[in-house]
Amino acid sequence: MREIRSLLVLDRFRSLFDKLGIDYAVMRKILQVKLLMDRRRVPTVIGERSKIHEEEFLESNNFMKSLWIYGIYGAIMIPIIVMGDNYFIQMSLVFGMSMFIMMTTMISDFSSVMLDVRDISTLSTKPVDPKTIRMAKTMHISIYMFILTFVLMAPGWVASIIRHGIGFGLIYLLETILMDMFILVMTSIVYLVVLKLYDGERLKDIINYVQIGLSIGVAVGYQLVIRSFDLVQSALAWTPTWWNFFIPPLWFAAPFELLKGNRNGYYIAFTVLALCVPICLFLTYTKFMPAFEQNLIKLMHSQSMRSAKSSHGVIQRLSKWICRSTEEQAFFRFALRMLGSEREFKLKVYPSVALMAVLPFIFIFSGLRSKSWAELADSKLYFTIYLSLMMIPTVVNMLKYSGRYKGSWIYTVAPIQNIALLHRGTIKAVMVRLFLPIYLILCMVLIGVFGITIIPHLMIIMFSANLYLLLCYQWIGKSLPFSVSFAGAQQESQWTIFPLVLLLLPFAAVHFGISNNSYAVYGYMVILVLVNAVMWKFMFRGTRPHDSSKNLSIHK
Amino acid sequence: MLNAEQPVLSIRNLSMNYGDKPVLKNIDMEVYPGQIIGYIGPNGAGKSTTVKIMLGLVEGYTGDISLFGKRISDGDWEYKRNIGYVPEVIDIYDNLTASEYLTFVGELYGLSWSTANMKAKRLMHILGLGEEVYDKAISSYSKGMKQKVMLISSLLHNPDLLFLDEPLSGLDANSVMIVKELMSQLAAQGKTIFYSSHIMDVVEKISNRIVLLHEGRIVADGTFESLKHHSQEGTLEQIFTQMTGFHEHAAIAEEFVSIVQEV
Repeated sequence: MREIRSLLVLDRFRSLFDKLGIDYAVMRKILQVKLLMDRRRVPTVIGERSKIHEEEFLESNNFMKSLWIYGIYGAIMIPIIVMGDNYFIQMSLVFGMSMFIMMTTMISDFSSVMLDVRDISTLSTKPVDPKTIRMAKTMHISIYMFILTFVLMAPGWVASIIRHGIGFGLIYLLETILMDMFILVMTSIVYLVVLKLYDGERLKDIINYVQIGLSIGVAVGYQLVIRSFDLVQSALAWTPTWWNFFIPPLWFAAPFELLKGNRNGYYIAFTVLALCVPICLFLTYTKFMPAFEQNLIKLMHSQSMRSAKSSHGVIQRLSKWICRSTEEQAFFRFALRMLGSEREFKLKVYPSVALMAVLPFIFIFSGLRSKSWAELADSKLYFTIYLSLMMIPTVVNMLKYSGRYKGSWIYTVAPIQNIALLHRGTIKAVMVRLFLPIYLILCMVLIGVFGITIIPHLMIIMFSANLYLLLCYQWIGKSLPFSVSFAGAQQESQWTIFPLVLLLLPFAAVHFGISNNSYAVYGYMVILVLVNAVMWKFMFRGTRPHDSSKNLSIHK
Repeated sequence: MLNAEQPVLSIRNLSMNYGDKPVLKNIDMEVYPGQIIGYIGPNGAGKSTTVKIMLGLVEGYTGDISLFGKRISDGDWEYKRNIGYVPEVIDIYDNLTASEYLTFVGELYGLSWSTANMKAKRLMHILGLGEEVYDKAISSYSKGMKQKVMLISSLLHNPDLLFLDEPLSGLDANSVMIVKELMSQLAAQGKTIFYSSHIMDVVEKISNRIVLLHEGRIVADGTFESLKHHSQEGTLEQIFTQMTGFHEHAAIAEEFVSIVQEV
């Protein structure tokens, strides 16, 4: 097995482990295997798995490859640190960002380290001291955290020493260690609480949501950070309030103010918190460990099934209402469930959908900088909602993928009369499950900003979206939905959807062109409805199951 | 080598609850070297739990368990050195190759890397998994191949006591023959095999002792001959249904068919 560098470093501390009564040789072996497996795992920040060959898979080091992203986050923090002398605001931003990134990474990518049930049947059945196994686990997490922290925090640390001096750097270093302890314990507590309250299935769902949240947070946060620079420069004055005590990044920012000689009572209190809370938590945590493991066993036993009954009646009625034939209803319900419950699909699709949903606001708020509210309400900035429609080709393009793609044999085995019904049902499900909820929220916010006069325009946009969805599906959706593995999903996708994104331009242009004439607006709306109706009628005719089954077999 | 008179495994008064639901109720059992014990019972009878308790995976039981003459609750984990285990569900580090996984397991049992590697490679080869498979990630294996890897991993260190939970699942007929023969030859060498299965014909043929568990209690314990004599049924399958009080199979099947035909 290949030697791993972090272990060579660890070897120097061998005598320390011997003193603690740990079987170092065995612990090292466990770590070696665990680190080897980490290399082959694909972290969430990268998110995109490319098609790799067997040998490459065995040799690859996905974890190290993902590190550069953390390096970039680290670099982004440099300007925040060096920018001014408002230590409190700057450093709370820095620690806020780092804590967010570390915490979400821990929850999304560490779940497999902390909650690996295979440990129980593989390691605990072997003649190995449980203490050694526990230490191996702790060291595993520590190595991972150390590397992550180093990449994330080192750029800022170097910059801070150069700009603000050694004292600043020392506090920074000490607080980084405290922050790691804090995050480690907080993550464990999150797991512990979830495991206590729910079963393992639920935990997997929650981890999935955190992963989605991480991807959204990174994408949106990137936009916000860029905008927050002028926030820092304008040197906002901070007025302390009682709830500030519950915001950990503020604790960590306070010692820097003390360094500056700013002996405000709040800063002193925060400094005490920054010092004591992580240490106390960490000490109690070491006592938690065994309880944690017993809960893990629960994860292994969890067999409780999720019931989807609650929404059953609603879906039943909905499907009857919008689909004519029973076959189409069945496909609609199937697609609706798949879109909502398949974890890998959600992880790949929801973040980009969320990003496109907030795009209009990013533009509208930058509009706010040069305009007043009244001017904004009079403007036509609500047309930026067309940007959100970019989510449609993205989703349609991803529809054919699924983490459970192997289940798609059912399409070929079942005697499906008309495969077009499958496509129709799926499109309607995309509309109902993904597009409409987001669109309605967008509409409500936009109506709040621009007033009810834009309602006809929003309706036009909705009909356009429907038509656009059909066109996208016609262009891309030749494969059966949920029938292809995500492996190899990446290369082609961006290029397939590019022309479709351009297709949005005429929609927006025509709408914009007629938008001042209210007769034309309603006329255009009628035309769109008619075109929609015609498209629905003719588009899905005559697709036979055989056309697509050929496609299916290629992808196996 | 253990003395034939001394039990390899003795369980006294073992009870276990999951929450307030009792899983095992006062189990008593002694197992001697060279025995092949077929541990059978309906789903949820407590078979896997018994095995997991003996391996120290599940805590919170009451009663006494001694393996190789030593109580296991004393916190001494050394006894595991003499045990091989194939779990019911294949929880395996499947992003490792068989080579990486098997040498790792061998090393945990105290074998040197090269011994473990040599043994594993040869055992894989004998079971029809050549060198090119040996160096492939286990995630790409079929179910039967994974099962073979699990079997090998449980035997690498030449244990005296084997716990096999459904060891034949996923194996083809030829491999099943090999494993059955393997078990009787190991037992002839004085090793003890404790295994559970749902395939009654196999249990009937290879076990020299059958323990039937029902609702957390042992309802039958003895050779197949004595069970047959006792219950006056011809096959183990019939004995099983009789002992577990299950007579409705014909009625259930009938109802099933009638529902199928409704359309």
